[in-house]
Amino acid sequence: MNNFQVIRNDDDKVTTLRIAGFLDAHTAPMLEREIEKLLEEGRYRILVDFAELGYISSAGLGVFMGYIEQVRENNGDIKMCRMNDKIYRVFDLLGFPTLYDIVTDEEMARAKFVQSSQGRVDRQDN
Amino acid sequence: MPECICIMKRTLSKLILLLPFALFVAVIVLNTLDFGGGSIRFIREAVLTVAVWLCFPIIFYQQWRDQQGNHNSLRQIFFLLIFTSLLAFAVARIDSAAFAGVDSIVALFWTLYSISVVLVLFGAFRHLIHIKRRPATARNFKWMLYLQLLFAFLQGTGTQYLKKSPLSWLGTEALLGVMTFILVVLFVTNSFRVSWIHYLNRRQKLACFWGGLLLLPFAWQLFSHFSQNNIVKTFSPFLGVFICYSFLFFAIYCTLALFSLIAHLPTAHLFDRKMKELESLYALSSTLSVEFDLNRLARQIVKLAAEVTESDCCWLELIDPQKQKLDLVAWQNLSDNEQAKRRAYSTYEHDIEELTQKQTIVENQVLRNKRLRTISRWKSNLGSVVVVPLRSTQQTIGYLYAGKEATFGFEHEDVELLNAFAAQAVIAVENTKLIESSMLKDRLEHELRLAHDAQMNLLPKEMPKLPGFTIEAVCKTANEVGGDYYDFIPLDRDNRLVVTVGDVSGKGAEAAFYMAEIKGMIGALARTLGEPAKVLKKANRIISKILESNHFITLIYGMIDGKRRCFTFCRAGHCPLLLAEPDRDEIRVIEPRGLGVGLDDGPIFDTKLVEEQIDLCPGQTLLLYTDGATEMRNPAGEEFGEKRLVETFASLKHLPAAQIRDGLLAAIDRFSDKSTVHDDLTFVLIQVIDKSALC
Repeated sequence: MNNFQVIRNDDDKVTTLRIAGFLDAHTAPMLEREIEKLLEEGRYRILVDFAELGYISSAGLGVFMGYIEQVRENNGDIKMCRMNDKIYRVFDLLGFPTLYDIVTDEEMARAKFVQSSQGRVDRQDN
Repeated sequence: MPECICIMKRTLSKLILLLPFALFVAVIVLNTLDFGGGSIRFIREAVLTVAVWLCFPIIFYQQWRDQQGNHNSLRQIFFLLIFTSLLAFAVARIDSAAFAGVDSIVALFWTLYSISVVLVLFGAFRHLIHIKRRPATARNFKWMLYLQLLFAFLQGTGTQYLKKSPLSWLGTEALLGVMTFILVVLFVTNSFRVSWIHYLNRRQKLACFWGGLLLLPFAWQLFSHFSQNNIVKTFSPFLGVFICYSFLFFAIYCTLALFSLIAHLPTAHLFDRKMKELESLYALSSTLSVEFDLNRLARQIVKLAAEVTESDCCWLELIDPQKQKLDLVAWQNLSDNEQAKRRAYSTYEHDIEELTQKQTIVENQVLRNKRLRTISRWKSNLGSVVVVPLRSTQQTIGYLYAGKEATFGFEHEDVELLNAFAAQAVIAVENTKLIESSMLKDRLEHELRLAHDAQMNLLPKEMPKLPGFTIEAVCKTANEVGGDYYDFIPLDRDNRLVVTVGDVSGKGAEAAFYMAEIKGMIGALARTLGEPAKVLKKANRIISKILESNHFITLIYGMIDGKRRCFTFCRAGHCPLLLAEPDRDEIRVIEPRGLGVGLDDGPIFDTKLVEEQIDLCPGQTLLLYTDGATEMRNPAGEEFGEKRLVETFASLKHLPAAQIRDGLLAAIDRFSDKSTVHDDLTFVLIQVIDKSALC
């Protein structure tokens, strides 16, 4: 089974998680732990970079759903970027783009964080 | 043929045993005829020698002695020697009184009796000598017997012929002396074979010692009887000498054995103890291999440890990892009162600083010294204690205690032995744990199998019959239980049938429980609400409250209206519906918008859900599937994918539904090359067959 990796990258406001490999029922706990650590540190602006992700299963999708409520209650958000078509298709079928910001590049995602920090929770309606 | 020879040999060997008796009879006949004269005498002695020689198998083949053990031989020697000695005393009296004469009945009886006793006793001694035998043992014993026979013959027939022989210059006395010397050397050599003493325990050694002391005068008295006024000699000089030599050997053996016993007595206690240690460890390890109940094993360990170390009490405590305390598991010689008191002290503080050192503690004066005070609080009459930690690979799992009322009660060997018992106890505990976990695994596997059967029972057992349609479905689970499901719910009115296909996120038991729940709910809602959007909206509101926040369910809920010939459906985040039409090459991928159930608790789900309607024509086939089909991977890690699925479906669309189903499964099997199934896989096919119906 392909390995799964999370690389964390903090700047002053946003934490970027670059995820790579296979995100499924076996590897989902790794990502969960990483996100829980962020929440403990009070970092609620999370940007997930999907560029290197090869596969995501329903359990992988569940990870994002599990924390979104808590993150948004704390004026933060989980935004997603740089998904390849296959991964985006999985999110799209489920209707994720209705609920989450899924954008093509990192800069756009950061810009959205800035917008929302101005007091507006922006949801992309796809 | 070989069998015949065998039987013949066996009969012959039996006949040979009769031969000595025949010879004895011949001698008696010779005697009664009384030819007199030297040559007849010589022949008579020679015949007797051969007779005795032929009797030797009686000595050598006494296999029954091996089964009956050493004690039997020892007892036999003791009683036979004493009895014969007393008898000899009586015979000497009778002989001197009235029955003098060569052929007297007494002499004949006494000769026959003593030669029989000698043969039996030789058998018994041989058995003792051959214990722990070496290559030389049997040889020495045989040499002794044969030389004894030869010398007795020479001496018996002898003295007058010796004088005429070329050896006469040596002198008869000297020759006799040499012969006796050689024999005595052989007797002594054989008499050093006393290994049977090693196998006696202390009590038996003492018994043997006193028995030997009592026996010795009788043994030597017998020798002196046969060497002096021997009436056997009057019957046959050869037999007289032979028997005399035999009793000399018996006396020498008894004497040396007695000395050997005396040498062994001081160490008998230690020897006994070592034997007991070995036996107890052996008993313990053999119990270990058959007994898997921890409590019974612990009781056995404690019992043996107390016995072997001769402790007044012994007990075993195991650490309960959950409660962080020591539990009294097994004990020997602890009163109810003491046990109750001990349990009251069952907190982990129990001499903790001493016990955490992970080393065996020997406390020779419990009351005087400070450490291990807690024990003396609940056990008053304790002089010395040994505490051995039970160390498994990673941690200490408990302690074995042995206590004596006396101070300084434990020797170095006791402590080592207790260590050995503790090691066995560790194995016992680990073994039971392993067995318990493997039994648990078996049980879980069994329960999973039951769960699988139960889940398979949730799926429709047969395909619904709807006029004008053929419906086929299949569901394969990756694990014993899975999160995929499909269902058919016939509605009463208008020839309508609800078809659902669903997929609960995640895998295994959790997904299976949610699957059962959603199935029940959809079934109930379908019958009351019927319409796809209404049902799904309601289901989402209920289920999103129940579902864990990181779980969701994707569904297609469709309704075939047999009367109006249409299929109305909603897609709640599920894979799209594929539609094959007879007059179009391409497969239509129909994907109305809709969120997965559980993603949102109501408002957004409701606004996004779109109902789609397809008019049905004959020859059309609808395919509903779950992502297990598209996410199936080949060994190279490549996914089967939506595109391949659509292509395969297109190539099969003209076939009947059952064949399309099989074709799809076969294509996926071929692709995945039978590599492991990662996800559940479901297909539902609806085929419109009624050609008379209008489009």
